[in-house]
Amino acid sequence: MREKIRYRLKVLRSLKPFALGVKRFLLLNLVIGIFTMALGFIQPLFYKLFIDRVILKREFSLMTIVALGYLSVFAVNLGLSYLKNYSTNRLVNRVTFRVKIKILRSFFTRDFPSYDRQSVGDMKMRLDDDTACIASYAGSQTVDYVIAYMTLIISAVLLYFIEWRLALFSCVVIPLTFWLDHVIAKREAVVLNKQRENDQKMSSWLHASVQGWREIKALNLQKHEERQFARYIRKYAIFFGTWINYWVVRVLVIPKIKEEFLMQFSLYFFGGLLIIGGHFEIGSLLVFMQYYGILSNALRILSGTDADLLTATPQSDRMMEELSRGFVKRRGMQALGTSNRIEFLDVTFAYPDTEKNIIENLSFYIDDGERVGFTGKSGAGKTTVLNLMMGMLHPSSGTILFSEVNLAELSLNAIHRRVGFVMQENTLFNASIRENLLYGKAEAKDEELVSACRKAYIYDFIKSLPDGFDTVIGERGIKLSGGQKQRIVLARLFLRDVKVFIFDEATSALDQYSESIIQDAIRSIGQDKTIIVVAHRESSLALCDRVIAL
Amino acid sequence: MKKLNYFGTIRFLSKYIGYYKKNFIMFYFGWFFDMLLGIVMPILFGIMIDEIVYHRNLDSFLRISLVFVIMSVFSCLLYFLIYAQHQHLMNMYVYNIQRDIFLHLQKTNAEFMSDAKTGDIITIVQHYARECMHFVIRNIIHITNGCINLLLLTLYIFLISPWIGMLMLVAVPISVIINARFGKKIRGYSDEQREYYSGYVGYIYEVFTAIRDIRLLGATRKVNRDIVGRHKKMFAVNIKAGVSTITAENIITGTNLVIQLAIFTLAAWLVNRGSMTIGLLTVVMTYFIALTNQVKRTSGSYLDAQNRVGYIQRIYEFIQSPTEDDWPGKNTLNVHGGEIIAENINFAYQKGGDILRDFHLHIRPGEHFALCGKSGCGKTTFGYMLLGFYSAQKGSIIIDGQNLSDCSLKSIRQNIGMISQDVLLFDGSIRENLLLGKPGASDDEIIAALHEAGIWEYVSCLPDGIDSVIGSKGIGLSGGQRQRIAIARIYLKNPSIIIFDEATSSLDSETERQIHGAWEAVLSGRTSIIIAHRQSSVMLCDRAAIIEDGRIIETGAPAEMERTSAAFKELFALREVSTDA
Repeated sequence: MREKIRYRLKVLRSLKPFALGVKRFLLLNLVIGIFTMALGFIQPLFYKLFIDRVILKREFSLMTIVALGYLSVFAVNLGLSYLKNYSTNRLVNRVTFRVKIKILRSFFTRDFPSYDRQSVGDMKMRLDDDTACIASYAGSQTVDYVIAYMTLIISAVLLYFIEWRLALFSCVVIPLTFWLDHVIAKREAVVLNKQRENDQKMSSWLHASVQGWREIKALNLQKHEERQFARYIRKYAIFFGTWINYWVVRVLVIPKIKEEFLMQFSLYFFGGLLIIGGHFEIGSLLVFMQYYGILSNALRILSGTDADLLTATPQSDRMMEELSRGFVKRRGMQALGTSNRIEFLDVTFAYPDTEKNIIENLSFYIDDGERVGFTGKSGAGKTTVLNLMMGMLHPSSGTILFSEVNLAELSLNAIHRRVGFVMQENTLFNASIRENLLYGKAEAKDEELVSACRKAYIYDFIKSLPDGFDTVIGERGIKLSGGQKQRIVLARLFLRDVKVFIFDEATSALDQYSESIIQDAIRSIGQDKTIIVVAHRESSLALCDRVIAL
Repeated sequence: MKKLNYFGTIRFLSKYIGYYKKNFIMFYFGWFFDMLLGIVMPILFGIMIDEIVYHRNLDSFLRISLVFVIMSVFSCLLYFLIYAQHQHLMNMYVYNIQRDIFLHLQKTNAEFMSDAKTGDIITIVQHYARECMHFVIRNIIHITNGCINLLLLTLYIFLISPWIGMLMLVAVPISVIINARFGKKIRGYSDEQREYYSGYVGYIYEVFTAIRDIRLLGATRKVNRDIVGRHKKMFAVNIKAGVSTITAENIITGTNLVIQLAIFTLAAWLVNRGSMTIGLLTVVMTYFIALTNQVKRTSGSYLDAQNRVGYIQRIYEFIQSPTEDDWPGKNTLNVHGGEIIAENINFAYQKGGDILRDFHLHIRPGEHFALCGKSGCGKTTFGYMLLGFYSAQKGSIIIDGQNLSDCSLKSIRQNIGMISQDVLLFDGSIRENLLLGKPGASDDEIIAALHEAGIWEYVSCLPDGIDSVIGSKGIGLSGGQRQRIAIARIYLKNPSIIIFDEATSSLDSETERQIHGAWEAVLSGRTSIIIAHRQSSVMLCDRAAIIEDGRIIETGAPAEMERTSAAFKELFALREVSTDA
């Protein structure tokens, strides 16, 4: 219990720097909560008035007061609901926004190799799903939790004063139902987990089986697949037979016992006995029941909130981890010279935790305006050399110079501004062609776009599209052929006016016709630009002045 | 195709329901009793309260309490009975439907399958079949019982007091309409939110997938700005949706409160006249809630009946789609030499133009024959025709003197094996995957096959050897390794004719050499057709043909063609680079 409260405070503390200027809304939420709680206790009194005086004593004139009472409680609640919404929005949106921007920035400044260790799904989760827990720390986990505690205590006291015998009885009953719920849910979870596994297996099997229909037909495997299907279905049937009983107990029987039997019938029964014995009033019994409802609701909130905290702990932990992360700072930033000479001096590289050197004592240089090819078997380290050149990996030993300065002392952004890549698979966003080109130069004018596209031999194609530059290309550019995508990427590089062009297997997935167009485009790049081509196909290296074999 | 309506759906399902008539009847009566209990229990409660307040007779109070307890226990037991039937029906009735779908899936013809989407078929098998159960429960049983329930509840309220009955006739529809209208609005807002959010998530995924490129492009600032913009919009959408949701909720609560107060007032007035008690008031209040819920639920079931009929329609359509049972051939194909003659073949897919036109081909027994041509020229289609996936509109394929369309598909596929471009390996061990080629093959045979395919060296190094699990959860194999496993599988299957559909994507020369090595072991001594994309592969064959526009334009020995054929040169040689353009 204490641990959970401490954990909540820890999260709040880590969020505090992001709540600058909106902290008062948390307090406002608390005040609103207290008012709402008070209204909850007032309403049953009007019900008592209605039953005792209007119905039993037949004082029909009091009906107006009852109606007015109900309506004014509703009206105040109405106002509070809008106020609470406003205050929560101000608080949560501001904090969430700041947190997300901070996480995003840390993603963008991270060391390059770290991207290999982190999946895209994980990054999305950290940015989006984990930060969703902020809302709960502005409401259900903190304010509502405190309010629920207060409600619990106040309602228990009130119940005791209304009729202590009944209060004692009901306080024994409540924990019982919670315990029952807990036991069932735990057992059900075991069965459900097993089923989920089976379900996943079945899904992926079914997927392969449907996709592989040719293979199945060609290998005459239909009978085999049918048997497999029956096996999965039988497993499901066994699961379903066990699970349905838990389900009936949890969803149908326990609520019935709880709501109809314990919360209503038994109170009416014992309350009725007390009334018949002359110790108690029916109106008080009805109020008692309503307060009892409030009390058990508060208990439900408390246990639910604690359970939620437990399930959300990994989320909140990850968020705090992100929040405590500092930005990666690079050592002494040297200014770049005008030259773009690239030089490797005795460079050796091995991935961490591996023995084998991918590159051993490699030395070479590439001067301004040179056209150099790299070739080698797959696994020879072609891509590694490029990554080293761009500072995305760090050499285990040796030095890399860019513009005659040690790469380790340069700002990566400065290098990246001068160098452009065309890879085998390139990123195109699911947006218009124009939008995609603007990623190269955000403020580019139309004329610039046209001339860049001309140089990349893609302008005629774009012009032939009904929407021209505003044509939306599908997700990852699926609506374009491989060659067209490459040429748009190339146009983007022309826009950026880079000094060094790197083609990393840029044409190896293309047919020979598309390849030749791209080669034409490459050939027309100005003589002052450096061109580096990595390829295993000889034809792709034809335009290079010299070839370095790895 | 016939469109199913509500009753058409019942007719379609009645075949399956018929097998389990007794279970369905018991199931129905279970729910019927449940409904009756829902009506009787509140009345008992009312009597109990009246007993407490007015009569104060301890004996009859205790008696009524006892009846209440017994009925509660009975109702809990009833649930177990109902769901025991439910479970039985899920496992029998739904399974029957699922199995029919799956059996049909195994028979569907290639034309249908190549157009079908995998996801659609999976949904039909896994989810729509279950909808057949939901249809019976929600759209038949619950609608029937719901109507009876409405009738009985209203009747009882009128018996208590016609005044209250009349008030109900006004109040229930108002409550239901307000609830439905504003409930729908709330859902509409959250749909809007969801839609916006999913657009944002798609964008975020794109950004993170490309995070390296974005940094290399120096485009982080632009992306940052975009994300901030999207968030601002998203917050605005959320705030708008939040406020509107609160308003809608308040309107619903307000309306219900007004109705409740109206009932209170009317009851107070009736009490004054002496024709109403507290107990009856609680019954009325409970029934009011029950009535509104019942109307909501019944109209809801009616509405989603429409969707569900749509789902079941998909099942209905699927199991009527064309199957391979229409294939005319019944004879057994016997291959001895492996001579393949294609005469005058014309073929077009149902949607789309001709693929093959006047296609002639003669492959001699035991020959290795390469089919080349640009993608889409029909070479793979011809391979599929040999497997009986498609049949020609005109012309015939004759293998060792037997017309292919006279032979059974089973025997065709026993004699002709294919290694396709994207090799399908099933999740499971290497052994299991190979056994699919020859069930019951011994370990020695499997190892020999792996050896011939040139992959034994690799497999033997794996910690679990041939029991290593491959596929989505197992070790990842490279494209070349997968191909070689498939080659080993075909080797075990030992068909008389092999079709090899070479992958288009580039392999490095080392892998290519290994695969070519594996071919020679597997292909030797049998007729084989290689659908070739690379010159090096063509050169390994005895003869080659170039296909253009569905026709063979040239045939000859590869070495000869390399020297003399212009088409061959154009297909495989690098285009001369032009300096203008």
